[in-house]
Amino acid sequence: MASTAGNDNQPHDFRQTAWDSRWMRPPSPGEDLRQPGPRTPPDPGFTVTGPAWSLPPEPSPGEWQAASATSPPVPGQSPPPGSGPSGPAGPPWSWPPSPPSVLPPGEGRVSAGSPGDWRMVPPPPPPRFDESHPSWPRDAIAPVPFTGPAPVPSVLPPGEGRVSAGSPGDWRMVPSPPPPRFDEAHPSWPRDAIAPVPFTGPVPVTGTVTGSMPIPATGPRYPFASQATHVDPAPMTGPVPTAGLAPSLGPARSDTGPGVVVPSSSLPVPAERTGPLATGAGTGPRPAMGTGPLDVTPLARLGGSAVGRQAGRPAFQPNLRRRPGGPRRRSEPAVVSVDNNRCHLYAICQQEAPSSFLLADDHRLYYDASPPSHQMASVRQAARLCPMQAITLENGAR
Amino acid sequence: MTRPRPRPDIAHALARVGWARIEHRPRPHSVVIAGAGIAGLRAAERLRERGFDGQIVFVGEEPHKPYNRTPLSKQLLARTGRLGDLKLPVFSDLDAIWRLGTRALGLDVARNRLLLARGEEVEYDGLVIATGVEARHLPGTPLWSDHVWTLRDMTDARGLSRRLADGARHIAVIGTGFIGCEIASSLRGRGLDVTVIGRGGALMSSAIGKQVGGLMTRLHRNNQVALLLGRNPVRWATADSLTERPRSGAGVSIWLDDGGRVDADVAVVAVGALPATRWLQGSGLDVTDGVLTGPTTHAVYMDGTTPVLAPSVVAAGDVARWPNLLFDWTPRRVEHWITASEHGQAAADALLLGPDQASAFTPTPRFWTEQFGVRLQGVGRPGLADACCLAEGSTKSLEFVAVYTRQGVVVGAVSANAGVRLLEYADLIGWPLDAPTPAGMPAPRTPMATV
Ligand SMILES: Cc1cc2nc3c(=O)[nH]c(=O)nc-3n(C[C@H](O)[C@H](O)[C@H](O)COP(=O)(O)OP(=O)(O)OC[C@H]3O[C@@H](n4cnc5c(N)ncnc54)[C@H](O)[C@@H]3O)c2cc1C
Ligand code: SF4
Repeated sequence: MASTAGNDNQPHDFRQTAWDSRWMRPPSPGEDLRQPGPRTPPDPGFTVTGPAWSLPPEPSPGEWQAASATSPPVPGQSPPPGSGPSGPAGPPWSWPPSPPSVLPPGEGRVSAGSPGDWRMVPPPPPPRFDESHPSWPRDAIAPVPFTGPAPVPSVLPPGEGRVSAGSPGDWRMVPSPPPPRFDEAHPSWPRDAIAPVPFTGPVPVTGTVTGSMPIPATGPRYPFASQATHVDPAPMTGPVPTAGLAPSLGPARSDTGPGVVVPSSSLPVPAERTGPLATGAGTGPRPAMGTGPLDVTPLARLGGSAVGRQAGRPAFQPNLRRRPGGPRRRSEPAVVSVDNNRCHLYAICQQEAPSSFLLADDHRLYYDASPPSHQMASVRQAARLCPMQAITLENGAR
Repeated sequence: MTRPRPRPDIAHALARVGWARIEHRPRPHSVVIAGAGIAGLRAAERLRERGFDGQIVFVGEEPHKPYNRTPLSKQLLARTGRLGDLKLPVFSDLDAIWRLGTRALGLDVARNRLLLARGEEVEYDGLVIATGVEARHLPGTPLWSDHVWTLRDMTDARGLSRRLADGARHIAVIGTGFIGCEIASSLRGRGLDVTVIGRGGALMSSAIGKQVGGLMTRLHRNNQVALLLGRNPVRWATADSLTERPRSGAGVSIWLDDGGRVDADVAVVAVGALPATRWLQGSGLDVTDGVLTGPTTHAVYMDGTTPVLAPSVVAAGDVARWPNLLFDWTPRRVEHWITASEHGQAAADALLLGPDQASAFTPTPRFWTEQFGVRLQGVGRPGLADACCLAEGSTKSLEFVAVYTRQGVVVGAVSANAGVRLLEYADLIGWPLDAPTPAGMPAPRTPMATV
């Protein structure tokens, strides 16, 4: 079946029309590029000191409806005069570019001026996660009168592949960014900028540790060979104390009252990162109290299902070896890997890409090692925002 | 085979037209990014992802390309990480011009110029201000000394770790914010003595409140960090000073306002940060406590006395003060790494779309910190809250989620060792806790316990 070009039901394909920004257009003849663009007052209610804003004239909603009903705005095409939100006075290129990422004026905006007007029902929180994420019982809760001063914004944060409301009842996809053009690891790191410092620390000896908090009770401890904290209880008067004048006192143990004197004693030292759970060279994350074994397992190894995968395996693959028993492995190469030693289970990745990462109740991170291409944008964002920078994408993973 | 040639006069006319076209070719657009930090890097990456094919110029004061600052106080100081861990992934070809080691000295908004040293001017079509913050100076502190350090960038981290490797046994940390507490935890993990001197009553209480801050204070105390809270340093003496000498053997002596004295080998001052906006003084931008921007990250320019949005200047990262409409219209700064990344991306979008089309930047601020093996993680702005309650878990085992409300509306949540649980609480932000139970839902049975 031939595909219909310009089908309105289809999400707008980004690759066919370039990102229609204000800089992707040729300059109009009389325009001076060096001048800053038109100055626009901030949003109403955005309080900065100064005289009050005069609001720009708002097009009536009927105008919007009529404009979009007769001719859906084609990106790059100039609007019918007077129908754009910026009006005829605006520059010629300020017709909404391909992602209609702002609401029509008046929708969801609340004037912050009069506090008595807060009777507005807040719109539901923006669909920040995938629809599959069962986090908020959206339909289950009836709207409540909103009393606080904070409106839930109806403007979505810009993001990749988020859905944004162009006008009420009119949903379009924000085009996802184009794939990066080259795969390149960040070549910039000056590796030898800091000379490695020789390790001059103390040598571990074994013994018991008397610490009580979430430290494993066994493990090596270091001899405590240093001087303790010195706190001088005398009020500072007169000349500068010379060396050796003040008596050496013990460590200040409590934070109440000045200069608590405690006999100098050897303090126990937190055990090194060689608890019973962290195996290996002891450089891994220190397991916290109460968490189970810290492990990172690709879904593929566990025979997990292909989350959100579009196309199944082709019916016939001559090279595919069938192994009896055991989970069937994916034939795709893994592009995502998570460093077991680095990941500290902050779950930022699950926030960013909930269909590719899952932090389960067993305190393991399950992830899709070869996510489908339409998930790669969010997986890349997860890799960018991972606090421990534990997520690696093969060859840039476009 | 010869091509038929046009008449000579026509050939000349064609050539002239060709030259004129080349001469009047539109200049390639250029975006200048002031401050080569994470926010600037993510802005450049997003520009390329959106298909911007002009020039991208980074003007960065540090001699390094953008790197990850967050391990400086954690893995690097604790010696559990390597320098390579500071590397940041970039998923598109930036193809940028790197003016590293170059400080931006001024800005001419009307002429679209960035002023550099030696009178150099860089013209831009779009400017991303991402100069971040610089460590705050405590008045009277001998920061010139080899025994007193701050921790903000790699130079500091390198100098501090050299100093520590030089036989330091006892470190005094001034400041009870996130960075000060992380330094204490990292150094304690190395077996060094740590004394924390701070103004507040509990650690990190300005960011995460008194209750959770109190729990963290207990954690630090149980790990033998000497805490001197509610005190300020009033007088300093360092071993390399000519006038004021500390006790023999100590590198630095700090007198406190309650009369006590702390002798240490090294002192680290971590008393917060101030936005790096001195270079913007006199540029017409509003730079009281950071670059003021609108909700779309476009900078506010004072045109005479009228504030207007500058369409070609955006600010992102720690330096920007903007109203997060998720909470209210009050512009505030956020000093979180994840937010800085998202802010850079939003600023790039806003620059391409212009103030009319760009949508408001309304992220949920997210932060994390790890101290003594406790992963503390937060969403929203717990610092704005006037009440805090324990939502689930137990504080004894330090595995819990606490919810922060302001006038009954949830503004944030903090979890300890329970990162996944926090996901749901992020959606709660902006909603009142005491919403009437809708029909068809079982009423909650137990009221929430207070921490
Ligand atoms: C030790 C440490 C630990 C941290 N830990 C955490 C954490 O655990 N979690 C968390 O969420 N956040 C953490 N942060 C905060 C986080 O690092 C910042 O929020 C983030 O780096 C902000 O990025 P930025 O790009 O806005 O600014 P920066 O990263 O500060 O970058 C600004 C850059 O601009 C340069 N610059 C400044 N002035 C000029 C000028 N006039 N001209 C040219 N260049 C200039 C600076 O040199 C710097 O390179 C930590 C910060 C530090 C210092
Ligand atoms: S965001 Fe990073 S550290 Fe957190 S769970 Fe995911 S991979 Fe692990």
